[in-house]
Amino acid sequence: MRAAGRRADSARPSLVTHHDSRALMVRALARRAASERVLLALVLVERMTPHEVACTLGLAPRAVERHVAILLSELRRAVTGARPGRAARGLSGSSRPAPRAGTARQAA
Amino acid sequence: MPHILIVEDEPTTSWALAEGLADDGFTIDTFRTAEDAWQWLQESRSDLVISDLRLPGMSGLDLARKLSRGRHAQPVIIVTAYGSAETLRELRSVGVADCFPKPFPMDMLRRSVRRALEASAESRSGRVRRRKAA
Repeated sequence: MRAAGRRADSARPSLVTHHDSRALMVRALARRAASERVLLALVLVERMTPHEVACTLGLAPRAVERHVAILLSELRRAVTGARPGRAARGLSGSSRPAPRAGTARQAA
Repeated sequence: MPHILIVEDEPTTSWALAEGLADDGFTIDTFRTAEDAWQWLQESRSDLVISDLRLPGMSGLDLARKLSRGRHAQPVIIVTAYGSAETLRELRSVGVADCFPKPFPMDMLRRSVRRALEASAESRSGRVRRRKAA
């Protein structure tokens, strides 16, 4: 994992490699949809229950639990390089769309 | 191009050290724990280690002990905000090349890195000469 560049305006190749799981997590989170980051923030930062998150985002509580499990599994995989678990495999086979940020406003 | 390992759990300090030293042409890998750095060393090599003293898990002192002999032997420079006289003595006793109480001027660290790398290279070439002479 080589850092992209030490300075944004520098054309020199990077000489520094940061082996930092937080940096990996930041990159993994940045790759997720905004709605997925909202979902994680409500659960992990706001400490809302699945029922509260479900009411806020206009989803079923079971869907909230499932999405959170899948997201955590995928983030864990991004950081540790572990193979996908059952929950993550479920996401790729899922026909249900991820929650959209707009639904929060609709519900509120 | 000499390679430096930086072991520092504070990301901003780690970043600042890496940026400062990369300007001198060193290649650098940074780690948040001594365990991660030690694991990396099992498959890679570096020429010098700069480590914080207080780290989660294995301390900088423990890492310096591990790096004082064997195939991973290399100069270690410790940076710390908690350098008591006793700690400094202990660091010297395990062969730490230098110890910097935080905050410190980057130029001092640069000079220390260069000195330690030169001393290490000299000691290596001395060993080779002695082996050839024997």
